[in-house]
Amino acid sequence: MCRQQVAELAGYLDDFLQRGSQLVIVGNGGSYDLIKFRRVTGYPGILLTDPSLKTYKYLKFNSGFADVIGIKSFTQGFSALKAGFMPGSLQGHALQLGGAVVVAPKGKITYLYKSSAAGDHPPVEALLAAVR
Amino acid sequence: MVQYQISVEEFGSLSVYNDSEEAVKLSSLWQKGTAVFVFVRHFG
Repeated sequence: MCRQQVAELAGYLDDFLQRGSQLVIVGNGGSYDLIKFRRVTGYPGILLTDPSLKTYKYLKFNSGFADVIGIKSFTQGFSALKAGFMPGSLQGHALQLGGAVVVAPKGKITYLYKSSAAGDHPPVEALLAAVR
Repeated sequence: MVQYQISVEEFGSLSVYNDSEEAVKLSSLWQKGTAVFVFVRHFG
């Protein structure tokens, strides 16, 4: 669940800062959705949106019904519910999956992750390792 | 070493938006340090 993912990442903001990096969350709803999402996740860092999905498409993130719906998405969703994260109304593109990319100052890409199903998120440990 | 088939120049030329609907060029986010972009599926 995206709000659980970002709420958890909020707890690592200092770890990224200590490594000379900054965490940037990008979604794909409207700009007006950012304020509500920040409130429900408690995430105080950089929060942006790409309603056009140009960045998602450029990075070739997975999309479509077959990618979004899978056994993994159900198990991850159930885990999020157990953790107390109720799903909110969907703001964004329902059939688009996310991922992560880490870019160093001289433009060097050190990490790329493409989610394979809803609820499949880049591991925080891998993100931190990419900025060491 | 892993090679990623991405043009950082092209990726950096793309823009996203903040909550004031102002465009933010992606390349501006890695000028002072490493940028860790996490793209979420949606805001729900």
